Amino acid sequence: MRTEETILRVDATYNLTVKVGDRVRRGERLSQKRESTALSVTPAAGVIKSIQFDPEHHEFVIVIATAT
Amino acid sequence: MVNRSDAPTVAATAVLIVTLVLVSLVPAAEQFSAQIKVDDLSFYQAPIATAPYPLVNTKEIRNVILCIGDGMGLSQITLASIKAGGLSGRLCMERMPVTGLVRTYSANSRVTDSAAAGTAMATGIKTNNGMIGVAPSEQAYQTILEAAKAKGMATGLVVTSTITHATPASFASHVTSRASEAAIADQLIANGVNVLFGGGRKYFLPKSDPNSARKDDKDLIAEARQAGYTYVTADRKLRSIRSSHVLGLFQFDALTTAPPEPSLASLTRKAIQVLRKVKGRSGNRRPGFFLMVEGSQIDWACHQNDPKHAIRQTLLFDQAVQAAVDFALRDGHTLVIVTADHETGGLTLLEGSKTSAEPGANWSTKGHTGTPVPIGAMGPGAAVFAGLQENTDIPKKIARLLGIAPFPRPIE
Repeated sequence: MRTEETILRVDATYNLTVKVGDRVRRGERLSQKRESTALSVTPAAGVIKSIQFDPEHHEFVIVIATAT
Repeated sequence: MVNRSDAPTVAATAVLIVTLVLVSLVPAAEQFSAQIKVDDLSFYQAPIATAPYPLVNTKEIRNVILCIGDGMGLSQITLASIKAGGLSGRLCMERMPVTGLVRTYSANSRVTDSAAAGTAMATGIKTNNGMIGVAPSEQAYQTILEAAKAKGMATGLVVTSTITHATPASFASHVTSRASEAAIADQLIANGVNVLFGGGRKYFLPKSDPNSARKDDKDLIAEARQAGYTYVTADRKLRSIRSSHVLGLFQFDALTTAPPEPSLASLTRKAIQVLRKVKGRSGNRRPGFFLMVEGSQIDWACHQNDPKHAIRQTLLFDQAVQAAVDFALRDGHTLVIVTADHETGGLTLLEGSKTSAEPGANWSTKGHTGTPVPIGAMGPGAAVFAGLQENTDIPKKIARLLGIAPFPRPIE
């Protein structure tokens, strides 16, 4: 079994509902953004490996380790 | 929660952006942690006096300086204040004789972002998160900076982010997405703002330049020079400026907020020096100015729940407020307003450890919050900012004090 990384960008305005080390399921919500769920949900199951803030784009960069 | 049937679409979209993200992730992460000695706060001298600045009786307002601490709630101010001056000390911004509160929600969210909040404080209308200078309908609205310029006043924007970032952009551009930073750069120059100080040089360079972030061949620096701007990239060149239009871009990205860059305070002083010498349309009479100064990186520290950086950025911002206040006290006809666009981090202060005199910083989120933010004002007209108000009230009150009407005003 290999481990791959899925990287997501989420608007940093809203409260994150996950933290590093959390196990997430596919389709699970990542932030409390009300008006849209697009790109605010996990595309694959895995473990949150890192969360970094990107000030230029005002986004959280979330790395999910996924087993394939 | 997303519907299961939507998941493949979401997954495909995510895979598409992975490559782009991998390219941009490392520089972004390193940007904030530039070579900064975060524990060294020797740059900051807390005010000796703690009394409020005097209320001014004069009614004539010549100049307005609006200072915005991005993400700066009451706890961020208090944390920095205790660190700098102890429990009984005061920051400069804590000495404002008039104080109030500001509600920050946007048109589509209880929790605003800097684009919607900046637009509210610039145009007097609530818009959706992410939108700059336009209503949710995408109708553009005149900003208070543009209205001041139309009245004949000189104008300026001084920030520590890219000059095209959401807050400065909200005062002199109109786009439906804050991500359109190249288009924002175009509009900042086309708008003829007298002073533009900050980072973001990459949005002004043609794509042929290896440092460019533009997708076209437009050389905005050349265009700015043709339009009469003096262009500077370093502190030493800034000192000799005598022009009425200055474009100062001190980094390709955001400022590092560390030497050899000019500090936000020194940029504020220089901006005031340039703006007060701008001549009016009819000749020698000085027309007054509108200046917006932003401590952009308080928000960034709070997104990382980093109290040391939050303190440092708040004190750097307070230094800039001090520069504005020093001028206002000498001038007597300058209104200074200090506020924030929103709070970031949900910061509260706890008792802290037994071994430290400092309070414990307790963060409730890595995002923004919808809690009201403080506002302080001094100078002629300051009294109108007392009490609880909407963020959209701020430019409306400034407009009324400057005799600008109608405001808010859609752009035809």
